[in-house]
Amino acid sequence: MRLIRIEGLNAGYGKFQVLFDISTNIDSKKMTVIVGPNGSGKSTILKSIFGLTNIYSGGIFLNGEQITRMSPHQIARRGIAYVPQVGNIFSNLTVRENLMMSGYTLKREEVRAKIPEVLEYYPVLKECYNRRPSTMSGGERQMLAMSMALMRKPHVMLFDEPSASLSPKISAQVLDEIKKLRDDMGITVVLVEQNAIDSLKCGDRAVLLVSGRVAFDGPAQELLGSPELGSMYLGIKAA
Amino acid sequence: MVLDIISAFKDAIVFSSLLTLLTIGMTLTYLTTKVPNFAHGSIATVGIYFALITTKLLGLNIYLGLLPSFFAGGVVAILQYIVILRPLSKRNASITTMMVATIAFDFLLLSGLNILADYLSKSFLIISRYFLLKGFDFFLMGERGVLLISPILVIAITIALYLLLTRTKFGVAMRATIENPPLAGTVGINADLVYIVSWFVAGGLAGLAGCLLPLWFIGNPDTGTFILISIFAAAVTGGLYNIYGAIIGGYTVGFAEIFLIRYLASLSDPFGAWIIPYRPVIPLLAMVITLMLAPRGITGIDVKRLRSMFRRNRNA
Repeated sequence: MRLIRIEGLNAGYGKFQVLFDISTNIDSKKMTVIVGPNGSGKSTILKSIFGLTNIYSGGIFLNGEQITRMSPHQIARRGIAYVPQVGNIFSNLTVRENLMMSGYTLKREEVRAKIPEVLEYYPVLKECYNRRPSTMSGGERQMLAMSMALMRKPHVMLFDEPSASLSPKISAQVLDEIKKLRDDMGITVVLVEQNAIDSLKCGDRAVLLVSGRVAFDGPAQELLGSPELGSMYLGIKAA
Repeated sequence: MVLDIISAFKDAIVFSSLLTLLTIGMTLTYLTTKVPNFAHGSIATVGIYFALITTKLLGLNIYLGLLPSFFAGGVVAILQYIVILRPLSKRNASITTMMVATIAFDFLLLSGLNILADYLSKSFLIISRYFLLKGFDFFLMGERGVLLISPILVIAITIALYLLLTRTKFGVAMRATIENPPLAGTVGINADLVYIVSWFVAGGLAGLAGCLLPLWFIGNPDTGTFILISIFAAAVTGGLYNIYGAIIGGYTVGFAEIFLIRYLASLSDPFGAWIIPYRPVIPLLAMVITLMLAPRGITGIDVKRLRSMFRRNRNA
C-alpha cells in the first residue's frame, strides 16, 4: 500500500536547486532505501519530506494529504519521525530529557509509559539514563537517536545515514535494529545510506539518485543485481 | 573627593541587580535567535516611562507599575521579533542584516519614546526628561526599598528561570530548541512558539528593570541606549552562551563600573571628578579583556583544562 507519494518535486536550499522533478512512492510497512553517489540529493529528499528545504514546485502527500511546505513540528505530529545524520540528539540534555522531548507531542502519561518500553528495546540506554550524551559512545548515541524517534510511536521513520562514522561492527548492529523496526513493529522505513550493498540487501524497494534525478526506482534486489548501475554508481563489482 | 565605600556599595547593588535583569534578557534573545538585540536598552526605557506614568500620572505606588512594565516590555519585544526578525530569518537573512534591523528598531522605539516624553510634558505638565523618582520609593530601616527589592527580584527570577528550564516540559523544550532548532522541530516542538516566549520573557525582564531604574538613576528617553554598552559587556563577560552567565556578568561589570569610576574620581591629579563622564569606557574595557582572555566568557572557561595547564607549568 502506498503511504507517501512524491510528485514532480523540485527542491533545494535557498536558490541552490538539488532535486529535479523527483517522483516516487514509499510503500507502507516496507523499507525503501535511497542510494546514490555523494551530492546526489539523497538527504535532501528526507529533509524535503520533513519540511526542512525550500520546495520550488511539486508535492509530497502522506496518505493522500498534502504535507508539502508544512512546518517540521506539524509533520512530526502526523506520525513521521526523522533521524538526521548529524545533530540527531540534544547533547546538552540528559538521556531522560532527550526521551522526554522526543515524546513532546504525547500526553504525560503516554511518555511515562513509553520510556520504559523504549529502554527495554535499547537496554544500553538504561545505564546512562541520567547522563548527558557527550559521555556516550557513537553507537550508544545512535541508539539514543533511534529510541527518540520510537518515542513518538511513528508509523514512518526516515533515517539519514545512520551508520555514518560508526565502526563496521556497530554499523551492522544499527542496520539490524532498523530491520527490526520494520519486521517487529511494522514501521515504514526510508533509509538513506552510503553503505549501499548492506542496506539494499535488507531493503524492499530502492531509489537510485544521480545528480538530483531518479536513475532507478524499483525492487532493491533488482538494483543490487544490476551490473551497469551497481558498478557505475554504487561501487558494486559486476559478477 | 573621598571614596564613600558604603554609598558606592549601595549604588553597585542596585545598578548590578538591574543590569543583571537586563543581561538575562539580552542573553536569552541571543541564545534563541543568535542576534544581539540593539533595541534591548530602549525596551527597558519603556519600563522607565511606565514607572513615570504609574507614579506621576496615576498617583500609584511605583511597584504597582512592575507588572504592567513587564507586559509592556514583553509585548514590544514580541512585536520586534514577529514584525522584523522572523520575516528576515525566514528569508535566510544574515546575522549582520538582522543586527542592523535591531538598530533600526531601536531608532524607531527611541523616536516613539521621545514623542511620549513630549506628550506627557505638554499634555500633563509633568517632567518627562531627566527625571528621578526617588521620592516615590518606600523606606525600610532607613534604606530605600529598591536596594532590597532589586536583588530579591534577581534571586526570584533566577530561581524561576531555573525551575522553568529544568522542571517544566516547555522549559526543557526551550533548551532543546536553543541547542538544535531543526531537531526540535522534528520532535514536534513548535520552535517559533519557543522563540516568541523567549522574546516575551526577555522584553519583560527589560521592562521590569526599566521600571525600577528611575528610583536610583536618571530617566530619559535615551537612558536605555546608554546602558546598552553595560548590558553587552555583562553578557559577553558572563558568557553569551549561558543564561546563568548573565548573572555573573551583570554583577561583575556592574560592581566594576561603579567602584572603579568612584575610585578614580576620588583620586587627585591626574584623575578626579572629570573622569565620571568616561564611565562607559569601563564596560568596554571589561568586554575587550574578556574577549582576549576568555572569548566564551567566564562561564565558558574550561576549568579542568586550566587546572591541568597550571599543574603542567608548576611541574615544568
